[in-house]
Parts: sequence; structure tokens; C-alpha cells
Amino acid sequence: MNPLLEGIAAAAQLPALVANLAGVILGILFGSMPGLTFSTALILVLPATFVFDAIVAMSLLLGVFIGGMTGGSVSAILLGIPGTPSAAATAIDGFAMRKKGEAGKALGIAVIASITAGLLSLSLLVVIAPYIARFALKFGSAEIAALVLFGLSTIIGVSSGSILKGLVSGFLGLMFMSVGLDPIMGTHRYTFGYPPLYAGVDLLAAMIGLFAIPQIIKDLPRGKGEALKVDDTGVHNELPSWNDLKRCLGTIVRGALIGTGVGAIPGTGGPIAAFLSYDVNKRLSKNKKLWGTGIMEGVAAPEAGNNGITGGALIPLLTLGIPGDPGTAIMLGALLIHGLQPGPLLFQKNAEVVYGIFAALFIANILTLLVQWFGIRLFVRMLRVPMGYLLPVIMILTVIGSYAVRNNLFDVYVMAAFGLLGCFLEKYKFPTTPVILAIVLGPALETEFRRALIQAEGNYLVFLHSPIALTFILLTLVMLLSPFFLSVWKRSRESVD
Amino acid sequence: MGQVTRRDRVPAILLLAWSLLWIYLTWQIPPETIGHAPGPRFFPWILGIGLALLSLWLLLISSKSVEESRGGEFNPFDFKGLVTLGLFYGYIWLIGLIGMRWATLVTMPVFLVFSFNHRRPSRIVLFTLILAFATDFIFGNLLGMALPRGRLF
Repeated sequence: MNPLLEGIAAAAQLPALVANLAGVILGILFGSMPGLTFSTALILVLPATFVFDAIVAMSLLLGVFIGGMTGGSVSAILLGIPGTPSAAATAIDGFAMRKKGEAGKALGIAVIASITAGLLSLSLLVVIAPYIARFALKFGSAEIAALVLFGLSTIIGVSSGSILKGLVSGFLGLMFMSVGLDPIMGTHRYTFGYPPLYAGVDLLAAMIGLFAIPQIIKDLPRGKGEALKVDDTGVHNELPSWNDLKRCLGTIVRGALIGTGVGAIPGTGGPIAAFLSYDVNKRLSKNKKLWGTGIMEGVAAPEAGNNGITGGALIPLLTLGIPGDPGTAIMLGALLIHGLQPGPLLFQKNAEVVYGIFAALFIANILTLLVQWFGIRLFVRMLRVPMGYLLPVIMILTVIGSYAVRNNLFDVYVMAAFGLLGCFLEKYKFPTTPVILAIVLGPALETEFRRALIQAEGNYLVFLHSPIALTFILLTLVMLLSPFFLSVWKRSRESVD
Repeated sequence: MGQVTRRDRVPAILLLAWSLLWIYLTWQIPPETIGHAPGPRFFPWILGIGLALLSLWLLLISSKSVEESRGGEFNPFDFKGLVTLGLFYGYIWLIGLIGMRWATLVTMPVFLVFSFNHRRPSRIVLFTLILAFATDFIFGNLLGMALPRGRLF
């Protein structure tokens, strides 16, 4: 059977559709609840995907991804509190519209802009990804090592506040992945003769601990049984008029393109895309002064930007195996768990999975539109569920999830230890995303780096002889040094002013 | 995430100690190589030395910094956070002893009362029962996943 048809058929089968729908509902729920993130939802459902085949598993995860990205707008519009950081820009005009009694219109344009941008972004993914994958087939160990190093340099991008702290987090992640048997020679490293450590630290157990435990502890003060006070009278999705749609169309397309472009750059993510789209569209608008007072374009722009990244972020993930944010890092983990190595070979060896992922992404967008459209009142009611009921459920899921990895209590202990590390990092404001990126990319970096040197008989210049590897090394240097040059440039501008 | 402040001296010192321990442990890895390529020690060495340098840098900057972080920030190690973490580790230990279902039945009411501030006994009992048995049913029966069993039963 043709891989394209095979992939589409797999994504359209009932189990995949049900998984996609469940993911969308969960994603919207987690995305819309301030304090919970859809990354946490992705982590918590990941263990349940072990029992499914790859396409059903990816349908579930993509459903959470798309639903979570879209769901953040619900609380941003109704409460002025963004459910996800990506929805922060939506709150500006969305909440202003709510105050003017136009919540229905704001919710309507938010979901339409999100889904249109998601589908446009998917189209770009389908067109661009195979070309990049074909080019990446030329990569050998030296090129892959340099590429992974570049992927790790995105730690700079995800370390808002202090790059030094981001680097420390990244080093910690790389250290934990060194535990176990050496990937090339099988030598024991930090195993202390304890058999469960031979296989190393499990990726999923570490991610669950790092994400979910600090989240539970963080939300504890709200666990008093107090629910968010949401007034749902008059809340419904209102279809924008034809004139409204025509007015917002340019904004949505621009937002989708910005989102796809930003999403394709590892280390950026939804908040940057949303604010950039808001800013660019505001600058191009004829009614600049109205932005911020509650206009539809002000809701459409960030929503299109933040959902535009959904296709863009999958470009480096699927073609090069480089995740750009926690969400795609978790999806990379899921593909690895199912024995699939994202990268150019995935397009050759498992083309049906790639097409299945594209089809699942399309279905997730459509399902999100339907679920958020018809279930908006239900999600508003769900916002009232006290954290005191949700957090114990999340706590139990952390245990089940980490145990399910290898049916081994040791992984639950690993999860608990990483939970403590996560709390420590949170307390001293070290970012946790670099730990995840390092845990995911670390083994590939070491393996390919050493493999390249074995092939070159220890000649370190092998990384400079390859133009592709050299390009990635230079890009890494640019990424690492850019904050320094930016601050020097800013200071010189200030002194001139 | 935050800028470096004076209170970052604590993590800087802890990270420095950790990196020194890491370097010592790296010393214990046999120095094998293939040809002239780096062996299993190479990568951990770089990580240990790199983290030690970064920790020293953090220590230096945080010691020079006069800015103290403001109050009211998230502290996972306040009384409630610490006790909840302690209860959670107790729960995991208990799972290893008596299995997931019974450990949930025993510890969940404590969690609900202390960590999540539930007060109505009927709700606490009902929610505990639902959590313990729904977990079994959904993950054990519907999804066919294995749930942790204890050493005793």
C-alpha cells in the first residue's frame, strides 16, 4: 500500500480518532486551567500510549498539543488570566472584549483563528519537511553531532532571565544521561554495581518528575477547595460575521506564517510567536490605536501566531530529530519509546508514520474546532473544578506513568528524585526546560561525537572539514554569543540616546 | 526565571560540591579508548569540569550581587510543600510495601486533609475510594497496564 494512504488510513481508524478526541479534550482542559500546562498533560498521558501503536499514540499526543494551544484562550478571554503562557497576548484584547460584553465573539474568532493558522502551518509542514529530510540524509556522525550541539544551544533561547542558570540546568541534564552503560563500549558509569542503574535514567520518569511534582507543589496553596470564580452567563462561541472574517483574514494568515517560522526555530515557542504576531499585525494595522481596547484582530493575531507554531515546531522535530520546546521534546520521547527515531531516515523507513502524523495533526485541528465550539460551556464549568480534586489525580498519574515505563518501582523512585530536583530548580529559579532538552539530546550528542572521532581516528578537525558540521558549529557559536552581543548593542544604544 | 541574586550562593555551593563529587566518580571509570578516539570518561569529564566552572561563575556573580530576591515568591520548601513532599515519598515507599491500591487507600485521606485542605469526611472517603478503585479499573482493566504491587500483598 502507498505510505501516504497507509498513514492517512491509520490516523482515521476508530482507535486513533478516539485517542485524538480524548487528547483534544484533555488538552483544552489543561490549557484553559491557569496553573496547569498542556506539557504536564502530555507527560501524564504518555505512559498510557505504551499500549497503543505509534499512530494512535501520536494522535493522542497531537490532540493534547493542539487542544492545549487553543484552550489557553478560554481563561485568557473570560478571566484575563492566560491558561498557557502562549495565550498571554490574547488576554489583552480578549479580556477587553469580554468586559464589553463580547465574550462570545472573542471566543469565536479565537478558535477560528487558531484552527485556520494550525491548518496553514500544517500545509507548510507537509510541503517543506520532505525537502529538509532529503537534505539531512547526507548527514554523517560529525554532522549529526554538530546538529545536536546546535539543538542544545537552544537552551539559550529557553533560558529567559539568566543564561548562566540555563546552562547549569543543561549540564545537569547531560550528567544524568551519562549514568548507565557507556553507549559505545558498554563500560559501567556511575552504576555502583546496582543493576537497575545499568539501563540509565529513564527519560520519561525524569520528565514526569521534573514537570509534574513542582507543578503539584506550586498549586498547593490553591488546593483549599477554592475554585476560580467564572461567570458563564452569556458565554458561547459566536460565529464571526463575513465582514469580521474578511477584516481578520490578513491578520490570521500573517500570524500563521509568523508562527510557523518561529516554531521552526528550536528554542522559541508559542509565547514569542503570539507576541510577535500581535506586534507585527498591530504595526501593519490601520487602526493601531484601537489595539488593546478589545478588537477582534487583537485576539486573532496572537491566537494565529501561537497555533501557527504547531506545524512549524514539527519541522525540526520530524526532519532532524531536534525538539524546540518541552511539548516537542515529549513527543520526541514518545516516538523513541515506540522505537521510531525522528530524523531523515524516518521519512524513508517509516514514511507511513510520518504521513499518519500529518493526518493526525489535521484531524486534531478539526476536532479542536468542533470540541471547543460545541463544548465551550462545559470547559467554562470545568474551570470551576477546585485544584483540590485535580492535583491528587495528577499525583497518582505520576506514579502510574513512571511505573509503566518498565514495570519497575525503581523508575518511580527516579521520578520522585527528579521531582525533588525540579522543586530545587524552581526555588532558585533555574529553568527546567534545558534539563529536558539535555536529557533528550544528550545521548545522541555523545554517541555521534565519539563515533565521528572513531571514524576519523581521533582527528578533531573532522568537525571542521565538513561544511555542514562547520555551519552548525558556527550557528551554535552565534546562538551562545548572541545574548552577549545583544546586551553590548543595547548598552551602546542607551549611551548614544 | 530569575536573574542571579545573592541567595544563589546556596545553589552555587551545592552545585560546586556536586560537580567535584562527579569529577571524583568520573576518575573511577576505566580509561578505555578505541584508537585515538575519546573513551567513556571523556564526556563525563567535560560535564564535571564545565559544571564546576559554571558553579564558580555563579558563586562569583551571586556574591557580588547586592540584590536580594523579594518575598512572596514560590517556595516549594515551605512547611506545606515539605510535608506534602514527605507524604508523597512516604506514599511511594508504602506502594513498594503494600501495593498501589492499598497505599492510596491509606495515604490519600491524609493528603486530602493536609495538602488539599478537604474537610468534609464523606467527601474524603468517597474521593479516596473513587481514586483507588478507578485507577485500578481504568489502567489495570481497561488499558491493561500493570500497576505497582507491594512486597506484602
